Amino acid sequence: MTNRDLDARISRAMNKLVPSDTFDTIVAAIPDDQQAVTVIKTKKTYKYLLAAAATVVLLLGGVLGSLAYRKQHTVDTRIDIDVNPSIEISINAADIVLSVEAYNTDGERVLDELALENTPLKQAVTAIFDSMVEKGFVGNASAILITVQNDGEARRTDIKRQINTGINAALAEHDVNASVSHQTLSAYDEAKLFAGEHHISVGKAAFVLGMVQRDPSLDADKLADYHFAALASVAKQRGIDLHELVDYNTENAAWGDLDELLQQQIEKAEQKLGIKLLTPNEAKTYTGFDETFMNAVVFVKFELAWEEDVPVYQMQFISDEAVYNYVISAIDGSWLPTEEEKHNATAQPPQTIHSTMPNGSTTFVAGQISTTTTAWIDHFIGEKAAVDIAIQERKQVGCDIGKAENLTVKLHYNGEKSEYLVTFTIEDTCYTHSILATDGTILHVEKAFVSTTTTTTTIPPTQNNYILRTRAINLALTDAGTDVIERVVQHTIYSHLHDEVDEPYWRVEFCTDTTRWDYRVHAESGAILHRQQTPLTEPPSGLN
Amino acid sequence: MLLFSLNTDAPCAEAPVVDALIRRIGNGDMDAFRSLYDRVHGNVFGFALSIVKNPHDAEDVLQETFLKIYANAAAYRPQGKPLAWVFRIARNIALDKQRRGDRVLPLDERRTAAQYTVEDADDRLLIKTLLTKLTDEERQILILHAVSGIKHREIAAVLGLPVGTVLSKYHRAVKRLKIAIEEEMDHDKP
Repeated sequence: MTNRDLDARISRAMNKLVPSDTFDTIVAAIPDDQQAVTVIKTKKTYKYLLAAAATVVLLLGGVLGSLAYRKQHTVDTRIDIDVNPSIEISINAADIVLSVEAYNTDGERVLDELALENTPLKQAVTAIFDSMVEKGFVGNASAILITVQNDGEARRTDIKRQINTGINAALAEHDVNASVSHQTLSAYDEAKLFAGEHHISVGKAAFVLGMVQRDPSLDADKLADYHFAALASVAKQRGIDLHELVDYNTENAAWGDLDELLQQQIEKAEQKLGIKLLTPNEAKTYTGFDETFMNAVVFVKFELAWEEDVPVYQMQFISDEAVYNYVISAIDGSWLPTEEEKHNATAQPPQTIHSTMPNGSTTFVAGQISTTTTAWIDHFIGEKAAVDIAIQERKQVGCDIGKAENLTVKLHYNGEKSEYLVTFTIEDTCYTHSILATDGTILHVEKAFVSTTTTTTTIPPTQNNYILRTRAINLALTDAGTDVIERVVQHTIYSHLHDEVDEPYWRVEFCTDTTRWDYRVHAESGAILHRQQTPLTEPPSGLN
Repeated sequence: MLLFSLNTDAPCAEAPVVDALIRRIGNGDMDAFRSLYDRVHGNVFGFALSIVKNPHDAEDVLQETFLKIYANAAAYRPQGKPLAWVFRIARNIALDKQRRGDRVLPLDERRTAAQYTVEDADDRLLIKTLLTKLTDEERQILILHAVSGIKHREIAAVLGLPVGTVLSKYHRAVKRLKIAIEEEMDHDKP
């Protein structure tokens, strides 16, 4: 049974359940004072005579005006813009915008507060792309599809030129290079039908149908939901030559292949910083997913951007089950908060480590400790330095740091700044140090008394009844039975929640000096579902 | 079957039509009210059922939703997502009904009422499985998608969930439902 069959069965069953007389019951329940009186238009003969006379006068006097009016208000050409925002512009023969319509919510956001009707096409296109860049929909290496629907070739060429000028003006203003593909349509009945069914632009529909025509194993309904960049990515994976579907704009040398654009951005950033950045493929490994999985996903977005002077890879990809978003430092592969996480962090107080600890948690402010750690550049100090700072702080107050265990460290964005949260236990006490990621200042230290026999049961469940990430990491580390501190200070730990399958699990990966470990920890029970250890032939790449 | 197809296709492709209908209802146009009801009552009922879990309450929600649509249509401001507006009304009423503890009898016990009889054994099994084997959110997402035909991102807007969550829950719900149905069918085999 396919999903579609199932949908149809559910719908059919539901329809049968609705009683036939419900509407009458509803109407009967509307209070009388709410029932509108139907307005009956009176028909008086003299009114008809007057109207007829007026019509004759208008017809005689206004034929020319009417023709001009019709020309001005008749749609001559429709232009679809697809990035993820999907927008259709209708213009008249004089290139004046008659209407602009958004096909999705991103499109609505782009058009928010823009009044484009009666403006020249070029000006409207510039305003739309200004808005797209400002609202984060278009950045370096974004893929844009422009579709012009007009039967005349000369007219299409002219419109395309105006659009290019309009886009150029906006992108140049923001110093952004994007890849623009052009598609022209003259016969598009099938695309119109498909677009109507999926509420997407005709341009995107034509592109999708063109792909399916070249590779019939593709699912058009599924593709209809993809961003244009994802469609281009699928086409590339399936060996479909995009040039058969669209024309790349060759007028501007900066607009070309997406991979080339990304490479240019990377080289620019490397020159600026004077260091070598992670390659896109290396950055993908920092998501923690294996190569097979990453080869199967479809990338919607893979861009190099800057966050507080740190070059980051912004990734969005789709598997059959879910959408994944990552912001990964192009310098060291550490994770930074995504836009959604930033939003959540400002919308509500960040969840702090003490919430994962048993009752009796206390907090005290520690004195500032000068550090001698070396920063990668002038940004984050790195996990190793953060752990050193935390351990040294405990040493100074007389703790026996030789007994420290269950150490974890993670980068956390609290809505205002990034901090490292370093957690470890020494005997029956759990310490969490919050350390400013930029300069190593200890912001605060939390202390909680724990019992090794109770830690497994006293951690409150998350709202999904899943164990927390730190708990999953600890379970995996304990199971590996290795020296936690030594490993964590040298290498990054990756962990992900996979909740799209029947058995939700945390995937935890880490390396010791000689072995790479890959765990799957049941997200509800904490049971080890899968354990794999692979000998390392070379020291692992990462933070060392 | 043809009627069903028209119903499920209507929401996505005809948002402007539904927008216009709501505006007309705001002016007291009963024909528009009837027309809107014909278009979306199955969707609203299915969605309500996914929350309140019995057809009697679902019909109550359907009635209250349309009364509220009628009362509020004049204040409606078109934003291109009229169904999201309709479903939000339905959801609020259904959740309110749940909170008040208005729930009546479970499906099996109400099936004696003629108007809710599901004659087809397969349909009966499907509805029973839907109502018993899925979480509330999974059921709402599945029914919104199956009955209303609206896209995952619109479902996300109606339920206030991230699109990724809707996607993963939808796929998980489909998987669970298929397995549950197969198990039930195996169980029923002599």
